[in-house]
Amino acid sequence: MRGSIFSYSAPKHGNSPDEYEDAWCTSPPISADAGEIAGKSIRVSVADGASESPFAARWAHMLVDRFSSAPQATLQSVTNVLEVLDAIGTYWPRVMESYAASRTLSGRPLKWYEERAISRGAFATLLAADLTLPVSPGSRAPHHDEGHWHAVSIGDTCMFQIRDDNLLVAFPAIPSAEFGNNPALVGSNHSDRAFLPAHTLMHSGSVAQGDDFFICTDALALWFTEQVESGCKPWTVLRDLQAIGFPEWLEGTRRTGDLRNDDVTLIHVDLW
Amino acid sequence: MTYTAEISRTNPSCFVFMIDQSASMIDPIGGRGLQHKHEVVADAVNRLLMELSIKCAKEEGVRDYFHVAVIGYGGSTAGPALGGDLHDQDLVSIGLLADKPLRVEHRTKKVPDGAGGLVDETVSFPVWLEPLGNGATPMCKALNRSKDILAAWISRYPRSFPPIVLNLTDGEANDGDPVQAATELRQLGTDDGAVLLFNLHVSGAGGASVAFPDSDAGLPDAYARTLFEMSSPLPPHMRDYAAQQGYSVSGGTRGFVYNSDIISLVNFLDIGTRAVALR
Repeated sequence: MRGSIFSYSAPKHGNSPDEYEDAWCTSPPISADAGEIAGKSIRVSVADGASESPFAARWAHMLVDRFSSAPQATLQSVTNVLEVLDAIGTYWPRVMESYAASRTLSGRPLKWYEERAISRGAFATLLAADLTLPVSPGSRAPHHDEGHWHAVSIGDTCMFQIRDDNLLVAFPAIPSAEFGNNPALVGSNHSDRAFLPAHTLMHSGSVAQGDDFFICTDALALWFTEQVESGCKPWTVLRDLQAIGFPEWLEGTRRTGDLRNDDVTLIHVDLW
Repeated sequence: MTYTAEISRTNPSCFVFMIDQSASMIDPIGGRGLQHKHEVVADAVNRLLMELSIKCAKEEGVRDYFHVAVIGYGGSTAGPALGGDLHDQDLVSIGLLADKPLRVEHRTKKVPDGAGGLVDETVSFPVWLEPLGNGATPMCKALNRSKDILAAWISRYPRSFPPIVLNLTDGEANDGDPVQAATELRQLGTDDGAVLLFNLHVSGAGGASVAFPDSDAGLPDAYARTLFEMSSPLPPHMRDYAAQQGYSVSGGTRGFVYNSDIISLVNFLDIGTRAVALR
């Protein structure tokens, strides 16, 4: 079995590309915005920096980079996930100190609001998923050569698995009415570590030939969920984005108000 | 649907602070020991401006999601109350405001240490407004000045999230009926809804503090009841945020606070995903 990965991303309408505050990473990496899965497994990590925190983009990038290089077993237990998050949080102050020093050296010391923002921390949602492909091409028999996936989620970045033209899994499963501006977030400060376990969701499932996985940040996840709730099959559109043209589709869907104006990130894993 | 417009740099909103700087503001506030009303108001405005700035902060700059006017009223005048480089400005962008405080003080606060305890941390605290109290209370003049500023602003940004006016006062207007002037101000609006007028009442009358009530029953005096009457009802999404923060709300809840904290007002504004720690 083989698979392709397609990535799509865009900043909020009205913002410049350098104001995009989502982050994504695959391991092994893909070149440009599309590629074939090399090997029998892949890890996809997507984070959405909270717009109210000025260092959110840096934090989101650090989360996906560190999760991409974390050991294979990381996504198989909450304890392992929390250990990785703890290590990232421990390292973050050094990143900020280094940044502050570089600003001072360049004659642009931090402004008061940047100092306050650093003190309050940076925040992002996170979804990381390991997809392991079936060993025998074409095998769909239960318990035999079946591939599998493991994923962790904190917040409203979501993964949708499609099989046989049906939505098999939505993870996390969030009704459209519950998307909002207050998702659970991974904070860079250690002050909320005690609350992380309750917000760290784990899930797993099987992987089969023909499956599609769509991993996306909240604006697109909300659109996807609303489409499903109204009886539509949004995956038919997302599968064809290469042909439709992502920028054109995005602009049209935003213009009609069907898609909330926010940074958008979509990673599509197509197994064939 | 009203009060749903996205707040962005191309579609900003507007905040007008009306600061009572009359002589009666020098008196002590009820139930708070030695604190004086003008000090409480200046502190509230400085903290609100700080929180608004941090909410819009990005690396090396503050995004101009809001335009801000700070109007002081006392004696016979109502006009710009910011000091320093901004002393003659009616309206400034939040980015410019954030870069131009009068001074930045350093204060010590307790923060969680991650192990269940607290540690001291020195934090920057910008100051834009000094406590001031002098002469009479021309609140109607200030409401009319706000109306003029906002009429011009709305003509430039007719589709924006409606402006919010926050009046911080002890309520003792002596240049006419502020209810009439407030009604005229609240008749202004953008395509997204009418101007919101909220009131923070600092009073020496004492009694229990009140935040976002839905009736004037229990308010301690006529000044409080007048300010409650002047205040806009909270739009539905603001009521939801108020409820999330533990306030008791109903369809009649108004943007009125009596001798209590109004800093939560900043949390009623949406500019994107909220940066809040888990709890």
